Amino acid sequence: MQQRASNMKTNPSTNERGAILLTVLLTVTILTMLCFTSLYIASQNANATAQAASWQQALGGAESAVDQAIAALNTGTWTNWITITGSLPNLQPQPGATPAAASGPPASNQYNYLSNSITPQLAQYNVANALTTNGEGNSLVSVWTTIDTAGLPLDSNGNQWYRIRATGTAAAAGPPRVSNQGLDSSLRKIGLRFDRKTSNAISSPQATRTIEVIVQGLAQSIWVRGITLKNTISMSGGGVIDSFNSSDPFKSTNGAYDVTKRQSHGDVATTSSGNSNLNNTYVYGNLAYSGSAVKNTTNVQGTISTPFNTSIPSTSDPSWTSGMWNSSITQVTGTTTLTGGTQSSPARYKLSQINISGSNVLTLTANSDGTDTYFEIWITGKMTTSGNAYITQDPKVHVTYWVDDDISLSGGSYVNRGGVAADLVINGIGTHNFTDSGGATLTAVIDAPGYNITISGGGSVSGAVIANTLNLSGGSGLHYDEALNTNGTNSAIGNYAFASWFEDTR
Amino acid sequence: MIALRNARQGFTLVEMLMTLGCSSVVLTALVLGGVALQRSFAAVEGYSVAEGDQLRVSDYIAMDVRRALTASVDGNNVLTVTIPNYYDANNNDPRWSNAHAVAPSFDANGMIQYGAGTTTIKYYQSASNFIREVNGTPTTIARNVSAFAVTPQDLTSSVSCSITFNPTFTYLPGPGPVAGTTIYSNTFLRNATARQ
Repeated sequence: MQQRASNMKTNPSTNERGAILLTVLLTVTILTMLCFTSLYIASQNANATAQAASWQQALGGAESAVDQAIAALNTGTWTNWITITGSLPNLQPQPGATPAAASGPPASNQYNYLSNSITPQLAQYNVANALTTNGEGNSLVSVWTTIDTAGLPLDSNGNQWYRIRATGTAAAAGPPRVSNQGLDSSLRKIGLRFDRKTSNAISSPQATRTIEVIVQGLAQSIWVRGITLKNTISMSGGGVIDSFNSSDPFKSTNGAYDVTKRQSHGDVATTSSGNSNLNNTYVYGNLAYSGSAVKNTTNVQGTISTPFNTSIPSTSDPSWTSGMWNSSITQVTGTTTLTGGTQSSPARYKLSQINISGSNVLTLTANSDGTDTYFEIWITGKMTTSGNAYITQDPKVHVTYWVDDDISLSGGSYVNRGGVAADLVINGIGTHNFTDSGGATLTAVIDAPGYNITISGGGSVSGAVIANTLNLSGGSGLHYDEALNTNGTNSAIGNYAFASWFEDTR
Repeated sequence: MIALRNARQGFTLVEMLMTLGCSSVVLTALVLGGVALQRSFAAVEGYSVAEGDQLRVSDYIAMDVRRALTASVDGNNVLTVTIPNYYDANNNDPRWSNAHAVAPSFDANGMIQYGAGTTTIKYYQSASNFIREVNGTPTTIARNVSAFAVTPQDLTSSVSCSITFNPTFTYLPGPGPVAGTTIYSNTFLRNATARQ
């Protein structure tokens, strides 16, 4: 009985051990499931993030391909490009085994093609297979791009515009799994098992983005720098030469020069420096010259180089014939208001002189309907303002002067109310003097290669100058408007720029 | 009688109390640990979802503004952009199978145009949803949005806007220590500037 009692006491202990095992197993199972679920969700999140990152990388690849195309157009260097005759295909081109190397931009029935992912070019042109990056996630981006005329006719300047299509493909790191960010699918369109355009099977997920850019040829501007001279430059009085960009809000304020947004492209160049002296005033740009060393250049912030050789185009009077201008006004000597015309039919005046003094004002008024207004004024004599007299042109008024004699602006000088230098072009013809002693800023471009120009009185020039000599004194300076670089009159193409940018999101 | 008593012998009161006490401690720890794990998981998941929403909204706006011809904002903070009709059909929902790119041409002003007219895309907040509307067809692209604003500026050069998201996980009652997450999107209007 004692033995039995002992057995009876030990049996419950056996049952307890079983319960503990069950409890432990259950607990471990629950914890394992929790961990597994967490890891699974975490991997899904990582997958979604990797796909989003690849989507961005694909755009970077496509844009780099566009850059390659524009670089080829700008430089005329077509290394590794091939030319294919025929119309541009919807899908990636498949050139033959011996494609024709490109030697220039494509003709109207051709397109140029560059890729870093096809065998023929690998063999023939030794193009690297893909762009590679280091770090986490995707390390492989492939691109291809085409250039064609898209059937576009020549523009009004006789220049051909080109269509650039570029596609970037980035591998999406991770398994072929739909993102747990359900709303991402319609945006990123990640290819998991198949290429969504060709329907070909793919070995790993990828993001593909295509952009189409239309580029236009820009004229080679004569306003590639702030100051271009045939002879000496002299500065004194603490003025500065720098730059801004009237078309870029980050480099100007409402299109006007803003010292807080100063740029450093106020370049100065002279083909014969003579006795040039900068007197240690500040030049936020480069100095280039031929001839004697320019004196006191300590505060030139850019480079100083020599020699400098360029051909400065001469200026000439317009070739108007009788009846092509408004003959009702032959000179301006008092307060006068002139009305303008349209771009295709500008108001033309041929004056023997402009000479206003006292409190007289010459006003170039804008069209009442608010449209851009155009003037062309040919002054066969002198152009002079003195006393408190001044010339003013309204916003949206574009004026081009041809002046055959001295120009002297003082007092109120010249008020370009639109604040855009390209709207006031002063062509000086022959060899004369140009003096601006007004205190206000003269916003203009001055193309007077035979003129000796003196800017004094504290007012600066906002625009650009081509002259024989330039003397900036009394604190006057020059703020070069970089936007002028695309407004030249020379039709030669300097470079290509975006005219249209579109992402194909199919 | 002794045998009968032994057969019915269970745990003593002290044993039972000890067992119950230990079990309670273990179970409480398990429950609290599980709850903490779930809470942490929910917080991480909420963060991930919110980040995905923020990325998506930012990417959508940037994608459309980059290719936009015009951008404007009205008094209700509805951002409206127009893009070219680039496809020969289904500009509202272009897919590789149902739309083809059209060739560019010059318009009357010498600028590039594609198909006739434009596609209008609007972005706005509707309750807590953020909507992308293409030619009048709205689609929710993010949820849990508390505010959307377009910064007053010159919309001919760039578009700057901010979107604030409510926190998706709050431990404390009310909005919690973080009132929301605000993202800022600043995108350059490439086409608008190209036309200046």
